[in-house]
Parts: sequence; structure tokens; C-alpha cells
Amino acid sequence: MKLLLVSFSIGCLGALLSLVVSDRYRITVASLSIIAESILSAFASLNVIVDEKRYSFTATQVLPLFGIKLTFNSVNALFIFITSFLAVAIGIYQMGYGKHAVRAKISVFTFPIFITSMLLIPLAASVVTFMAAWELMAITSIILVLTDHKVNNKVGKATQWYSSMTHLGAALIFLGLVILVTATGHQQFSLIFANIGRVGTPEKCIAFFLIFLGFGSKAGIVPLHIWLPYAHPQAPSPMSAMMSGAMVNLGIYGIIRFDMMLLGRGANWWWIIVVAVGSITAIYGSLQCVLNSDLKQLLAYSTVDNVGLMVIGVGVSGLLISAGELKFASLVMMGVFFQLLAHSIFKGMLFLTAGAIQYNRNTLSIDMLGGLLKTLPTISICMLIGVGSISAIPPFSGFSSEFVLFEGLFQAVVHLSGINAVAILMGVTGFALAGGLTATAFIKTAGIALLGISRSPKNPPKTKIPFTMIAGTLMLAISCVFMGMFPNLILDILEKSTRTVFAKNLLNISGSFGSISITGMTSDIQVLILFCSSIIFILGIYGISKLFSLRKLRIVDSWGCGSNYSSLRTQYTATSFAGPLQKIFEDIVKPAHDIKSSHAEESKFYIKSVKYTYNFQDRIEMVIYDPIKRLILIWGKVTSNIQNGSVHRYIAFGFIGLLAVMVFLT
Amino acid sequence: MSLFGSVTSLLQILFVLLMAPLLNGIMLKVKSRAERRVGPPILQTFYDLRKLFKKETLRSNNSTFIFTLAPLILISSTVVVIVVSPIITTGELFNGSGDLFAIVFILLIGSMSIALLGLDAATAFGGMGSSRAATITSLSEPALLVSVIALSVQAKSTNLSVIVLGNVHHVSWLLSPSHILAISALLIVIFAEAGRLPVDNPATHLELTMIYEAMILESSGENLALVKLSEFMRFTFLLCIASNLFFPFGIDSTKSWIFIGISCILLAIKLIFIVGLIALFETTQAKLRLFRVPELLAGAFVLAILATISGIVV
Repeated sequence: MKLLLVSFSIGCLGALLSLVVSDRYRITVASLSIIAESILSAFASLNVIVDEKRYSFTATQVLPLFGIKLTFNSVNALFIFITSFLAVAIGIYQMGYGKHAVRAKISVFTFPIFITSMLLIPLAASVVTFMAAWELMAITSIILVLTDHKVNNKVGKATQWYSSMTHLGAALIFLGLVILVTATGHQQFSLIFANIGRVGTPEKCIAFFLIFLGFGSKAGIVPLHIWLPYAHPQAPSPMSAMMSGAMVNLGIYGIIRFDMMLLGRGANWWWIIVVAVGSITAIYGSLQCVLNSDLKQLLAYSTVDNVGLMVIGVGVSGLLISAGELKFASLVMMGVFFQLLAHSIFKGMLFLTAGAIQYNRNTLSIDMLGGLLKTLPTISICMLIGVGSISAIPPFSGFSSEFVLFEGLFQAVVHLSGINAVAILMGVTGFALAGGLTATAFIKTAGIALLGISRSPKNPPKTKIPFTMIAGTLMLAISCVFMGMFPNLILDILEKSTRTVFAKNLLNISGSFGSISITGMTSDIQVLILFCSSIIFILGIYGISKLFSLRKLRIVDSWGCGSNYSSLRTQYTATSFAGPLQKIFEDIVKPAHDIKSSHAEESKFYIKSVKYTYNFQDRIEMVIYDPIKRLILIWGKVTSNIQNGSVHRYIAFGFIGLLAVMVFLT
Repeated sequence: MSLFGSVTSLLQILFVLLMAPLLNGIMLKVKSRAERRVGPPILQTFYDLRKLFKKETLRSNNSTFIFTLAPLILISSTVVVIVVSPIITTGELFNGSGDLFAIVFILLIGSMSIALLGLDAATAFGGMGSSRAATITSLSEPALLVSVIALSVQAKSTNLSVIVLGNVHHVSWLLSPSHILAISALLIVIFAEAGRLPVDNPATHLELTMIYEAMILESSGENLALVKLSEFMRFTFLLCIASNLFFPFGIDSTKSWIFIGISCILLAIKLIFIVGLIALFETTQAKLRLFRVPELLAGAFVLAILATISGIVV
């Protein structure tokens, strides 16, 4: 615990120091403080998880009236570990990236504080502490999104979306917690839990859904996901990696911590709704992801998709708890934790690779990229690893996590009956559809961006990628492979956190080294051995085919369909790759096409030029948010008639108001 | 790691390796006969593969290491699923790893690597093929995953060996509505995954309709041979799994050498029967338009969901 507090102060000190030092060292100081802070907190949290310790800390002087209350146990230590592990790599990456790409002084200063606030949130043990840390995170992250507002005009809109959604979420969470506080009379979480019986059923339901929606807006459940594709792409890459990799986790943390652990076993229809929302989120997120062709926006949508999977998991776990199947509930919960961990790391890494690509090629549009495997080999291989992870193929981390989650869902299908089982099938549907679409989305991303040749007609001046950027990305890539090949080590750690959630020892990690095997699961997949044997197969088959073949190899042009191969524009682009899927799902996504052709003057049979525009917008934004925006505007117009700025009028209003109050009082 | 396990794993690989080109030859023969043609000899596929291995390999100057690696990954992922699955015996080497979920995702490695191969050489056809194949994969994958659950519900296990053994011991499971619906979903998915009619026509190089052939258009020589061979092996593997799930009798569960021999012969007969039926079926079919394929796959998805529901209810 002390170690953790020390690490926080290092972070804040580094932030302050970065304000004073000269421009040259600013980013290095800030990054080094991030690295030091996160290494310390990673060790502290790992220690707490492994030894299953429990600490608490109270500082009455810090916040007036209420003071700060923190607890540190193996559940929130897991979240702290994920955040700080990611932050180490991002700190390293930022040292190289920030020198040229992050110009704003204030963002450099804010980033360590943002990370500190994210480490602080899971620790909070009382409502006031929690809300204070939550607001700190909200404000600092808004500043980070605003970093590039001078050079990029999209930032303004993104910040508007982000700040309104994040405050809406905070308000919902606060309302939900206030209901619990007023009903129990305590604001410390442990005391709320002890007195949860005093909360009536309707209040419980309202609090449950307020908290779910509030945290859901941070995690990005549909239809509250709308800010992710705006805000994540606009922040500089290290920051968007942190937001997509770690901040959305805190949304899931909130749902687990408050809805599941604090409100206890609830009605099953709560969780059925959670599963349904999760499944819609997963499907919608992956569909948008497959159709998008902006690298960072696509990644943001894929975060929505992964959040959907986790929400499905949380919902199914809740259903199993309310049905009394604790063993399988904890299996599913472990799957959720694994998915959380795996997702943070591969998504963080993919954002870092996106940042490196932007740094090198000055564009994020996949339609303009191509052939990066030749020019940026290390970053591209990292990206391929990320793609493997996110598509859940062995031996990468995503496979292990999704396998545990899938087994959990399967056991839930087998062990529940009636409406609950149907609800779980809904979750399975979401899981399955999202899985297929995600794989396609990332075949597209990797295939178009990394292979072929560059689709951009003019090549921008090549900037060399600093070593630290590659090192940070590589660190995360290696951990993706590690988590995939040695899942038993990860499961050992996750099992301890799961045990704390359920306050019971329910699962047993029994498998041998490099395998996934948990009691309650029916298979024991030896990822490591399978991987090694497939390497042997690859080498063997390569050898054999070399023996049999003529060993002749000729390098030629690609086939140009009978004519000379020339144009780079004949290649498929990201948009055309997703063309068939876009046509299939046209009814859902409704993209706007427009073809304008201008004719030659002599005759309209001769076409001079054709302009094709294709506009692809989030449909939910159009259907749900645009009417709301319009209503707000109308409301603003109506009220502006009343408030026209004339002082006389305001005095009159004041007079009438006073009169009304007096009449009312007498 | 027992001797028996190791030898049977090798036997399974050999069995599929030899059966795959043979079955393709038989299919071509049956199809030709049904169309009143003489058709190529049954062993023609072997000759074709040998010819491809002997040919010079051309490689595009735009391509990367993916160009060589992708066919190798494709074939080795196929070999891995063959090793972990119960094909001629349920007592294979990596018994615990033969999980249906894992098999689905190991097969996905192959599909992904071959889709990347299509995009590697920067040609329009490669991209077209990859895009279409990825579209089909993205729609068949969900149906496959849900039918995995449907097939596993009765045995309460996602482990393929356990499911097959369960089917051997409980004959009533085989005729339950859940099982039949799940198998029909699985069959549709197999047709889509293996690129057979009515989803894709392996015998055509017509540019507007080809899917799989477009992806591998740039490959030649030994690369093409490996891709072709693994394509046949994947199809054979999927048919083996389908036949073991639908009609498992004859599969060895006693771990004795005699039974393994019998099991090999029986499985070969079953496979020949199945491909004969498929060939006859394909002669009556025309290829679907690409945008009709989703309807077929959505049908498979619904069948799989229905199968799961009836599995839970009954």
C-alpha cells in the first residue's frame, strides 16, 4: 500500500517537474515518471494479488468533511496491475513519440495525473473518494483529447461528444450511488454492503440500472458508445492507447464492483437485460469495425465490440449467481478478467502501432496505406500479433481468454434452464457473430495496411521511427504471445482475483505448463505443445517440399491480367474489401452513396468526370442523438426568446419571481 | 505421451493425406459420369499435385514473406487439427486439446493466412478473392460456433472425443432433433468453408464468380501445390468430423490395433459414400450469387440456434 502511495506521488511529482524543465527534457521527465510510477504500482498490485493481502488506508485530512478511504485487495489490484502494466509500455513509447508529436505542454503535464487517477479509482472505498477520483479522470482525459485542437479541427467535436457523454455517465453513477447512500445511511462501500438489506427493491432496481448505464457509458455499451469513435482517434496515440486499453476497463470494473459485488444477487431479469445489451454492443461494434476504414476509429469500434463480450460475460456470471451456480459463475468471471487483461494489452498495442504508422506515413486512412510490412517490419509484425490476438487465434492471448469465456458460456447453457438459458443463447449469438466479423475486420486491416504496395499516390517523407516507440510496442506484443502460450500462469493470478469476488475458492487451475485447464471445463488445451508441434510441422513440410520441388524460384511482376502490371490503384482498398459486407448489412448501417458525373459539352453521352462520394456514419448517432441534438437546439431557441440580454427584462423576471415566492409562502 | 497415441496421430495424418486427393479424384469421376463424360482417372489429383511440385515457382516482386509462409501455416494448421481430433480413434495423442472451440479457431488461422496471401501480391483479383472469402468466413464462423455449442449440449462437453464417444454409447442422441439440426447446420458450413458448390465452384476460373481460386491466383509451383493439398485435406477433415458426429460407429475406442485397421477401412468407405453423394448433389446445383450466400449461412445459423434450444429443452 505504501509502495502504491509512493508511486502516486512519483507520478504527480513527475507531472509537476515536467512543467518546470525546459522543452527538451519535458517529455522525457514525464515519461520516466510514468514508467517509475507504473513499475512500482505493478509490483505492488501483483504482490497483493499473489499473496491475497488486504490493506486499507484512511486520510481524513485530505478531502474536507469526508476524507479519503482506500482499500487494496486482489480484485482492484488486478485492475491496477492491468493499467500500470500498459502504462509502462506506453511510457516507454511516449519518450520517442512525444518529442515530435505531442506539442502541448499541458497534455504532457496531465498524462501522468490521468494515469494516477486511473490507478486511484479502483482503490476508492467510499462514494466521495470514488467520485472525486472519477471526476479527476474525466477532466484529465478531456484535456488529453483536446491536445491537438490547434492543428486538427475534428478535435472540437470529439471533445464536445466526449465531455457530454462522460459527464452524463458520471451523473448517472452519482445518482445511483446517492440512492444507495440515502437508503443505507452510509457512504463507505463496506458499510453499504453490510446494510444493503435496508434498500427497498424498487430503489435497488433503479440504482442497478443507473450504475450500469453510467459505467456503461464509460465502457462504451451501445447506444452510449458514441463518444469512443470520436474521442479515441483524436487523442495522441499513447493517450488513446491508455483510454482504449485501460479507461474502458474501469467501466467494467464499476459494473462488477457495484452492480455485482455491492448489490449482491439480484433478480435474474437485471442480468438478462445486461446480457442483451452486451450482445447488441458486441454485434454493433464489430459491424461498425468491419466497415470502417480509419485505423484508429476502427480500433475504437473494436473496443466497443470487446466491451460487449465482457458485458455479456458479466451478465452471464450474474445470471449464474442468481441461479446459485457459483462455480460456473466464477468460471465466467475468470473469462471476463482474462478478456479484460488480454484486450487491454492487445488493444493498447494496436493503438501504439497505429500511432507509429501515423508518425511514419502521416495518415490513418487504411485506404491510403499498403506495403508497410516492407517499410516498417517490426511494427508490422507487432500489428500482425495484435491481429492474431484480437481474432482469437492460438497461440495468442485472445484465444486463451475467449476460450475460457466461451467455456463459461457453454457451461451456463448446459446448467441453466428456461428463460435464463435463452438469455444466454442471446449472449452466445452476440459472441459468435462478433467473432466472425472481428476476424474479417482485422484480416482487412492487416491485409490492406501491411501487404501489397502503398495506395497513396505520393509518398510522404519517411520519418524514422524512434527506438523507444518500437520497444514499447514490442513489449506489449511479447506479452500477447506470452499470455497466449503460458495461459496457466495468467490463470493462476486471475483465479485469486476471482476468488475474492466470490469470497470462495471455487476453481482449480490444474493444467500442466502452457495449457488451459480449469476444473469445470471439459478440455485441457495444450497451447504450448500445439504451437511447438505446428512449428515443427511448418519446418518439416518446408523441408520436404524443398526436397521434392525443383528449387527454382523466379521473381516476376504480379499478374496484370494480360497487360503489364502497373497501377497501384487496381488494388483492393479497405472500403472495397468491406464492400460485400456493407451490401449485406446495408439495411442496418445505411451508408450514403452519391455519384455525380459531369458530361462533356458536346454530348451528354461523353462523361468528363465521375465523382463518387461515400459517407459512412454511425447510424445510432443519426437515429438517437440527432433528434436529441435538434431538441436541445429548439429548446435553446425558445429560451433565447425569454433571455434576450436586456437588463430590464431580467429585473422584471426577478421581480415576478420574488412576488411568486412571496405569494406562495404566504 | 504413449506410443499408441503417437502412432495413431501419425496414422491419422497419413490417412487424411492419402484420402484427400483420392476423394477429390472420386468426386471428379462421379461428377463426370453423372454428366455422361469419361472424366479424368481417379488418381488424377495425385498427378496434378506432383506436377505442381515439379514446376518452377514464380513469385511476385511485390510480395513479402507471407507469400511463402501462408501456405505453410495453412497446411500445418490443418495437420494440427487432424492430430487433435478423433478421426480413426478417440484415443489420440492430445486428447484434451481436441476441443471443438479450439478446432474452429485453429482452422481460422488457415483461413486468415490464406486471405492475407491473397492481398500480398497487390493484385486486384487477390483482393477480390480475399474480400469475398473473408465475407463468407465472417458469416459462417458464427454458425459454426453456435453449432459447436449445439453439438456439445448433450454430451455436456465441448471436447470432440467425449462427444463422439457419447454418441457411440447413446444411440438415441444421434436421432434427437437437436443433433440432426446441428449436423445440417454443420454441413452447410462445411460447404461454405471448403468452397464447394453452391457457395463457390472450385472448377472455375471465371473472374466474376471465383472466390477461393482468386485468392491463390498468384501462387504457383510448390506454393500452389501446398495450398491445393491443404484445401483437399481440410475438406476431408471436415467430412471426417461430420461423419464421426453423424454416424460414429466403427471408430476405434478400444485402443487396439485391429480395431484401428477396421476403423480406417470403415471410415474410408463412409467418406467415399459421402463424397459420391456430394458429387451427385453438386451436379444438380448452380453456384449461388455471392449476395445469396448470406441467406444460406443465416439459415445455417438459425438451424444451429434451433438445435441448441431443442438440446436445452429436451
